[in-house]
Parts: sequence; C-alpha cells; structure tokens
Amino acid sequence: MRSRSSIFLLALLLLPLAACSSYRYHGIPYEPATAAPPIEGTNWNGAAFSISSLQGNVALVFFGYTSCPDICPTTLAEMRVLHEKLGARAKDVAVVFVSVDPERDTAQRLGEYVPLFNQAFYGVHIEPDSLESVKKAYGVIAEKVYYNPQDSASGYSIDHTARLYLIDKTGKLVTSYPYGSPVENIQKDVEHLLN
Amino acid sequence: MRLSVSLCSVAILMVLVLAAGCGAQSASPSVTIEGPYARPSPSEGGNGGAFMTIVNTGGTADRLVSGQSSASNTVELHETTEEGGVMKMRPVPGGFEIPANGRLELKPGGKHVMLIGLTAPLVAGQTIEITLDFEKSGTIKLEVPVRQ
Repeated sequence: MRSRSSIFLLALLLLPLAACSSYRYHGIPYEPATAAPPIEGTNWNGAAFSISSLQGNVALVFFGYTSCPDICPTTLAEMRVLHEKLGARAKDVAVVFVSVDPERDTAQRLGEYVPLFNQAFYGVHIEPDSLESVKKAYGVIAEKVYYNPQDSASGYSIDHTARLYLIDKTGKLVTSYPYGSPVENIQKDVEHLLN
Repeated sequence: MRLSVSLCSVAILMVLVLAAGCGAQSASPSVTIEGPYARPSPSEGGNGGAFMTIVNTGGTADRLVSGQSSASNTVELHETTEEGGVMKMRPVPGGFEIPANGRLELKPGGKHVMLIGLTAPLVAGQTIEITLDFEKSGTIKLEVPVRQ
C-alpha cells in the first residue's frame, strides 16, 4: 500500500518535469506544427525558388515590399544582425523576403534590395495569381492603398502583415513573431531548432 | 516724493522679476533634433525613411509641417500604425505636433520622414541633407547619416 502511494507521489513529481521538456517558443506557436505552405517563385538572382528546397535548414520568412521605408528594412536589418550573432551556424538559417508588391518588385529590383542586407538572403518574386494563395495559406494580409495625389506623391503603399515565420529543418511551421520582437528571442528559438 | 521713489523701485523690481521669469521659460518653442538617421534604400526612384527625435524645450508647442532634400524628389511626413498585426502607412499632410517642453520620436513603425522618388540609392555610410520646416521655429538643416 505504502509503495503504491510512493509511486503515485513520484509520478506526480515527474509530471511537471515532462511538461518542461517541451520547448516554449517566444512567438505564437503553431500547435501542432504543420508543414509550411508552399512558396514557389523566382529568387532575386533569377533562379527558381521553392520553400521545400530549404529542408535541412531553419528558415525565417517575411512578407514585405521594397518601397516600404520603415518596417521592411528594419526587419531585414534585424535578420542581418541575427545572422551575425549566429556566426558560422548562419549558413544553416535561410532568410526569405517574399514581395507582396509583384508589380513594382521585379526580380531585378529585389536583386538591388535584398543583397544589400545580406547576399545569402532570398528575395522572392511570385506572380500575382500564385501570391494570393500563398498569402491566404500563411494568413498574410497585404492590400494596396492608393493615396490621394494631393496628400502624397508616392502613389500607393501596401498595408501588410508584418509577422516573421519560423520554419524548422523538417519544413514545419513552428511559430510566428509580431513586428518588433527582440532579435535575442528569435535567436534563442533558432538555436533551439539548430541543436 | 519719498513715496513715489519707492513706488518706482517696486515697479522696476516687478519688471525685473517678470523678465527673469521669461528667461527661465521662453514663450516661444525651441526645437532641436537628436540622432537623425536614414535607412539604406538601393533603388533610384524608390522610397526611403528618415528617423530622429525632435526636442522642444520651449514653453509652447510647435509643428513639423514639411521638408525638402536633395536626396529625393519629394519629402513627406507619414505615419505607420498597427492594426491586428497589419502595418498601415498613411501620409500626414498636417504634420506632427511637438508638445511644449516635450519630445517627439520619429521611428520605424511610427511617425517618420518619407523620402519619395530617391534621386540616387541611399547607401550605408553616406550622409544626406534634409531640411525640415517648423511652423514657428522656421527651418532646420540636418546632416543625416544613412545606416542599417
């Protein structure tokens, strides 16, 4: 009788330890982690791009546009910092910038923009029809907003989701981060996936 | 006679006290700019953003209303706001108020100076000139470094 209650007590003590063994991501987790939806397009260097070809690497995906003056260059600059912090392990971490402005962001224009932050980063142009299904699959909102010409000379901007998506080495979407998440937190999650 | 002399002294003293008071807190705005920088932007004809903190040590508010730069065809004032994870950028033609004895931070994801139609790519390490026009403080010329 006594030994049975001891086993019960032991089990009770071990329960929280088992719960602790699952890693807690700093972003909003996908539970369960599911296969990252396909992203097929053209990289800034003219080569065909597919997110599935990145399996074996950890990937960070961001949707933006090159005419965006603040959110997009800030996120790419943070990804550059992340790559620097990771040192030699950065080669196993792919950063993918997907344009939500396919009309202005040709592969050539992406080629002028993305390598400025890091030559290894991908800058992906997707044809408008395919882009719609990619946006839907990732839950990305990106809508053109035309300005009153009296208010602005910039024509239009794009209201867009500024989340960063983290994909593990097996191609599963594990978490996503809101804009402004500390690079240190993203680094911890990336390092967890690399280990 | 003695009375009028002391009255006169009191009047002079009051004027001096008032003048001292004015010196301590100016009624007009006094605007300075801290830590300006612009993000790199590689595309000629594209857009760029400039960010800074505007400090007003004066006793009345001022307003940033417009700007010019040789780095772009147009300078506008824009604000990015977040709604449910979606970033929305809009022009603010009326400009930004800088409160009396206050400061206004222009930062990515908030209020900022937009450089529209870049005359040349903005490259990290270079410096561009931006002129900002304030409603009361007039024009302030800035040397703005481009950095990531």
